[in-house]
Order: sequence, then structure tokens, then C-alpha cells
Amino acid sequence: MYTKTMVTKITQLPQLKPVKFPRSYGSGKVVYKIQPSVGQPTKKVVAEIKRLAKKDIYPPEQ
Amino acid sequence: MPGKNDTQNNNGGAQAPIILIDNNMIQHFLSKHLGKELEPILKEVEDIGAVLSVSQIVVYEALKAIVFKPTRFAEVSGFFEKYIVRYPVNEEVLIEAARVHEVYGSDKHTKAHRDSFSSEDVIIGTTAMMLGAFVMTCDANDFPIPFFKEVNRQHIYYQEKGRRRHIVMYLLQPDGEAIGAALEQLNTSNMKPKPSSKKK
Repeated sequence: MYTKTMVTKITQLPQLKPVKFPRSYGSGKVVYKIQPSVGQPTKKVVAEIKRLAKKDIYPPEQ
Repeated sequence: MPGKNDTQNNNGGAQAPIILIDNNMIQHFLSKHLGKELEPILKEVEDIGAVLSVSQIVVYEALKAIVFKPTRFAEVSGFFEKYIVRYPVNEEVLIEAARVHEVYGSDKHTKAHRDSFSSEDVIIGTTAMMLGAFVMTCDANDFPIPFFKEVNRQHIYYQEKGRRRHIVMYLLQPDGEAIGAALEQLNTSNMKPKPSSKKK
């Protein structure tokens, strides 16, 4: 059985580099730029997740 | 784009880490039983200034379960639309996802399971590779070793219908070296001329 001692917090995360895929299609760039949608700051996203959790959007299957 | 405060952290102006949330974690975050228990993880993510985001394929996955439940559909679709950063599933992503599918098929550990990986998970994994992003999931098998490696694991216990249950949250990162080596090997092996079958 797992215990609390196995829990480690998410602290600092390493800086990751995108994987360089070989190009054989498209614009000829090595690394793609995927443009994201507009989002809210993490603090607001977290607050909204907490609000939605209280509404039990995904209750356990019956 | 993420909010201004989220694009940089206190690490000398380095770019804030991007965390792509898998559908299973979205559903756990938004459930009453488990959501409360997962709040410390959200706090940790907030504290390090990571950007919570999803691949657009998660919009499909998360909504298909509730699309005919109007209230829940409105809440979740509104959440995706207004709050969370979404990375598109465009043609470029799909082409690289095809490569990643073959990369999974090239390794002895994952070859037998290549077709067991759902297209959705291959697309999420590919998006993480293309971005240099982390994946948060509760099923690490969907993002296989050696192409992903574990950064963090947390066991979360909760009560449901009087029973003690638990899930494991994994934070994974793509292993650029392993993926690069597999891509190179696949390219090289496919460029070699095939031996002639004609007998002299």
C-alpha cells in the first residue's frame, strides 16, 4: 500500500525544448509554432475549476 | 495567449512551463468527490506559475460525455472557451501525430501496443512534444516509456459511496532524446534501398 511519504509536490519544473521533427511537408520550418487560444491566468483557471467541481460536472458512473 | 502573468515566472524571465491536461484529469478535477482532494495539486501548479492548457482534442473528449446534458455542457464548454488555453489540432499536428504513431511502433517496449494508444492520446502526446510541454494524466500507460518520462507522481485518496478509493496523478515530460533517436532511425531505415529480389 502506498503511503503519504511517496507524495512529492510539484515544485520547479525543468525548461523543456520542443522535439525537432523532420520536415517533409508544409512551410519548411523545423519546429512548428502552434498558436494557442486566448486563456485566463492560471489563478482564474484554478478558481473556475474549483467552482465547477462543486457542481459535480462528472459524477461517478452509476 | 496565456495571461501576461503566466507567460513568465520568477526564473529570470524563462518561459512558464506548459501543462497539458489529459481528459481523465479534467473529469477528475470537475467531480465533487475527487475535485476537493485535487485542490493541492492545483495550488502547486499555480505556485510555480505553470500554464494549464489542453489540446483541442480534449474538448471533444470532455464534451462527448455530457453533450446532451444542457447545464453541464454549458458549464464545461464555457470553461474551455473562456478560461483554459487550447492548442489546436491542425494539419501539422496530425502529420506529426502520424510520425509519433510510428515512433511508438518502432520500440520493442511499445511496438506490441502501438494500435492500443487512442488517437486522442497520440495527439495530446504529439502536442506536448511539439510545444515542449508537460502532460498531466492519471494513466501513464497512454504516454509510454521510453518516449515520456515521469517528473512527478502523486497518490490521491478519496471516499466514494463509503469506500476508500485512490488515483495516481502523473506529470510526464516528452523525452526528446528518445524521440529524436527513434525518428532518425525510422528515417534512415526507410531511406536505405531495398535489396533486389531478382536472382542473378
